Amino acid sequence: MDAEKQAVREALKSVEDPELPVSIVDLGIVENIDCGPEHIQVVLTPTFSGCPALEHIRKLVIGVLEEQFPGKRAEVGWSFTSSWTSQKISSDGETALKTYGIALAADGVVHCPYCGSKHIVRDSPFGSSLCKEIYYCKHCKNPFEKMKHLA
Amino acid sequence: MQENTVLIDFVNQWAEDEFWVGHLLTKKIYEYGPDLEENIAIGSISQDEIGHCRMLLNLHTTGEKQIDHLIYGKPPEQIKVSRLAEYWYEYDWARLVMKQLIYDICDGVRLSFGGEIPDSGLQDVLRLMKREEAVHLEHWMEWALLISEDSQGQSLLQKAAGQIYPLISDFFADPLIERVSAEYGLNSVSAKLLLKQCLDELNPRLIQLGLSIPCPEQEMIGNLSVQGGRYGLHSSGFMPLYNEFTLVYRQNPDMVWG
Repeated sequence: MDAEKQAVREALKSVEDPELPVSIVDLGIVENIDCGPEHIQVVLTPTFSGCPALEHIRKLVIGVLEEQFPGKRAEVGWSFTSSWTSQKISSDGETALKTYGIALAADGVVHCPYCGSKHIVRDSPFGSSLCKEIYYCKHCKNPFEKMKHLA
Repeated sequence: MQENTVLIDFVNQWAEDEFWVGHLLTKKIYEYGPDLEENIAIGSISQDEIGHCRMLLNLHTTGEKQIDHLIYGKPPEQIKVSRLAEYWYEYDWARLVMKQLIYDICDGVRLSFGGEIPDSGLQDVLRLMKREEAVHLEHWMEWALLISEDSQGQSLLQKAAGQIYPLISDFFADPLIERVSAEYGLNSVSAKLLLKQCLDELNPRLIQLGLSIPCPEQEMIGNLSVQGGRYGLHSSGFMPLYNEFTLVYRQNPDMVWG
């Protein structure tokens, strides 16, 4: 990756997903970055097709890039050619989510983010946002959310 | 997506179905479900359906205003939403569950049909839709099973099925199915075949719920010749809903959200 693309990627680490405590880079939705003399084009993959935050994220990205790369026009496109999965979340992202009480289970096994127990049940496939589902820990008696993983 | 008017018509009509289903779910999210978690689930499912509408329209449009016009700006006689998608329920949990269950099974058959159309952009969108719709179907079937556990619940589901099941014929009584099939050489596919596939998927589920099949297959096939939603002929619930969700756009078509 050339230096400018890397710089753009670093800048995008300051853009947090509005519904999760992780950056859009750690969430794994940055699909492509293209830099030209006068523009920066970023292609993002939505986590779910109906995500209500798409327009908000687009504005955040444009704001950050046009501030950090003055003189360049930032463009954001949404791609539906590849499917986002929770396996695209980085290890930093996984740690941040766990600290926040959101499990990931990228390895297929769900652990309670509070006590680490595997003695859990899924309460609902729908959580407080489209990308999460609700679980309950029978060990520590806490409900918690897990990032949804659709194959 | 290919600049093919038949395919664009098919995609637009599909998007209309998804929008109407999603819109109806959003109307009273706080009242429909029996518990808070279910209201959250309904909110998520409605967002998914409206997201599917947007993805389908994105295939051949170039911006928000064009999408707004296709959903909010069409005169009512040009809207080809199925009577199943526009089926309206006042607060009635069993009817909502039955409507969603039947719609998702019809939509699953349409997804399989759409999967045969050789258009890479459409296939990308359908792949995303399919994985989300699978979760919806599982969800509504779980609720139907729960409601059917006692005789009162079964009675409510049977009554709902009696009203909604006949609308499946209207869903597939669609001249675009034949036109798309001819356009892409899918000559073995017909409205009758898709209807039969749908009933083959749905009927065993109704039996599993302890329900009787509301209409015999031959009657359902015979009703494919009745013109309805796909011809712009809608139910009595259509105009109030149309007037409701197009109100803002009709007053100010240039308005931009946010």
